[in-house]
Amino acid sequence: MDPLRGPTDGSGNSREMAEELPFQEIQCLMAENEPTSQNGSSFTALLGLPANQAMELLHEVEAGHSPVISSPAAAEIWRLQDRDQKPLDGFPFGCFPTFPSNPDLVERAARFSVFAAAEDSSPQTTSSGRSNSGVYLAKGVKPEPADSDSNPNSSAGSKPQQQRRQPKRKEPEKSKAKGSTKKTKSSSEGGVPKSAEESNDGEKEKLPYVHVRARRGQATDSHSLAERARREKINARMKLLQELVPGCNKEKNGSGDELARSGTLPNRRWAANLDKSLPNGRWGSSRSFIESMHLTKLLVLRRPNHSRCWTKSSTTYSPYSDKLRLAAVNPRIDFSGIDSFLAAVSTRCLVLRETLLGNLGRSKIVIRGGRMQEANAGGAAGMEQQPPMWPDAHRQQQIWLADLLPPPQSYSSSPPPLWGRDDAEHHGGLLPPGGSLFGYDSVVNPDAYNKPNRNRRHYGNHNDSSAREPIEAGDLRPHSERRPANVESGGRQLPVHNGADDDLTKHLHPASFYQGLRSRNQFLARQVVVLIPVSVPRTGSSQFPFCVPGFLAIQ
Amino acid sequence: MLALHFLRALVRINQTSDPSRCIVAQRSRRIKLAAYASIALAAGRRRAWSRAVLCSLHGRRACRVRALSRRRVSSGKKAKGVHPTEQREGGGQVGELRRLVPGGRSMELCTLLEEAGSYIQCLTAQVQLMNMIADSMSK
Repeated sequence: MDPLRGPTDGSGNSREMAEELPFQEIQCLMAENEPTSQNGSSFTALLGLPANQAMELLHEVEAGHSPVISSPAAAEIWRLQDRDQKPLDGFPFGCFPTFPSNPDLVERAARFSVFAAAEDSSPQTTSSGRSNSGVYLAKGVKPEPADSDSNPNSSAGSKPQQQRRQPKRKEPEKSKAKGSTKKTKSSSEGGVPKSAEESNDGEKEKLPYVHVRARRGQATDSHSLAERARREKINARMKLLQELVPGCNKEKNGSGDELARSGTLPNRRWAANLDKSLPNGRWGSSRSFIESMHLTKLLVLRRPNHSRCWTKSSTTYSPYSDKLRLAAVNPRIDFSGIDSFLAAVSTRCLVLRETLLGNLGRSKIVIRGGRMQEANAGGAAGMEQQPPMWPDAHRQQQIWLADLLPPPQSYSSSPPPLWGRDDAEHHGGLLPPGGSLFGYDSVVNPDAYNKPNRNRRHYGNHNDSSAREPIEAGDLRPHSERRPANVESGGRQLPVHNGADDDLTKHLHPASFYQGLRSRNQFLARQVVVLIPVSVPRTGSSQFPFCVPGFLAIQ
Repeated sequence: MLALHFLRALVRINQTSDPSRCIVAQRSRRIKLAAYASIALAAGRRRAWSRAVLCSLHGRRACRVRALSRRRVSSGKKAKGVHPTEQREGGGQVGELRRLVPGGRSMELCTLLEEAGSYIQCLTAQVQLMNMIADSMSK
């Protein structure tokens, strides 16, 4: 059987699968019937099948015309075969376009008066000259759809496959069946429509031009033929769909798709993942995606984790590192928008700070929670030291941080309400960035690394400044320690281009900071990353000190 | 290709939605639309469902009236012409498939199945991509 299938064996799995089925069926049929011939025996054995089983085989033979048509038919068949094989290789989508041509092929096949017997078996069939040799098989057995066929063996799915391939695999006709009495199909369109139980033997009609590939007892008018071809196409595609949908293969023909659509069964998860309708669909993956985003936001917000992150090594930033890597993987992603967004956000923060603090003359503003004041003071001093960290942090990549240093005294009064307002305002705006895929992750990372003084990010309940300050102190001290972490974070950071820093850079502290950076920075610190940690001493649960990502001025 | 479009859309969503402080539902909706747009762009114009998706997205944005009128007319015609003939074939399952596959209302059964196959493939690719993104973010 394999050699018979050889030319038509395509690369597509579906084709192979589809081909396997008919062969299995053939084998079953063969098992049922004694194989009368050896080589290509499947077909010849099928020839030995009872008439009704033989009816499955396509092709009918016009006795009178086979010799005439054989050679051109063979040529045409081979041409069709070659042509069809190529699209079939591109299956599942490549060969679909060829399906519409199947009816044409059917017609062509119908025209051929000779059966396309198997290559191997053709000589045998010729020699066999059996009574049922009228049943001629193309390369593959193509049982007709079992609409009216009494043959229970062939599955509906395989038949269309076989039938589909049959026209393609028409072989050079060694017409034998010319003289064969057995005609598995009614002859032609002009043929008398046969009743379902009509014997095929008597149904041969010798029409000069059309030989319809009809099953026994099937009407051979064009409508029914076209309909049958269409059904075959549909069944073929249904099989492909079943292959696509996991778990449908075991189901019956119709029930598999039903399961897929309803999502009631083991495919439920799969089906649920697919969004079913455009406007109102539930995009499971998007939901999970959003949930993961929220999760990351929460992770960022939670203070204890954050503080731990600060002290820990870079491993804590794995949630973001992956994102950064992911973003880095696709370098074409334009992060300038993120920069502009950060600029916008930070401008808003700046405006608020100005209103709150009344002192925004200083270019460098670090917005911190009230509790961070002392830390700020120390941080201010430490800020100069911080720059050395920056180069490590921004090794190759640029981070978006805006460093805003509000005057320390402003914190004492500002109070929580203002902060609260800022938090409330910026929380929604900034949190997404915290959870965003790209920009803010990088922002978040450097904040943790870059020293709370400079870029501190307090998310979640960072009520206790005590936790912060030790961190800050710790941050201040071990610069060297932080460097590797910063380096790592910097390494992980995205190459974010800061094109929109201009509006903020003027607010940023210029010379000392950047000089400090330059002093140690061999890398490009093209961006100013400023995080505005806003930690409001509020009640525990509601407190959301968040860090407003600032912008690091480009050096 | 798919990843590029989708990631860019995500970036854009982040930029546009954050300042206005959109709620999660809005963002999720936008992300969903972005996902659909990305798979339609990845599929190109070769597929009927991708064309339908792109048309619907464009119609949603700008030419709503024109698109609606076109769709109304076309759907009206085709609904009459196609549904009665096609529905008898597969029953309720086919109708459900028509609803699921974008642009499936005006397809024959053969094309519907074919488009459904390609649609499923693109959807699975998109789902895998989003799962990867979600996993990377949630780690």
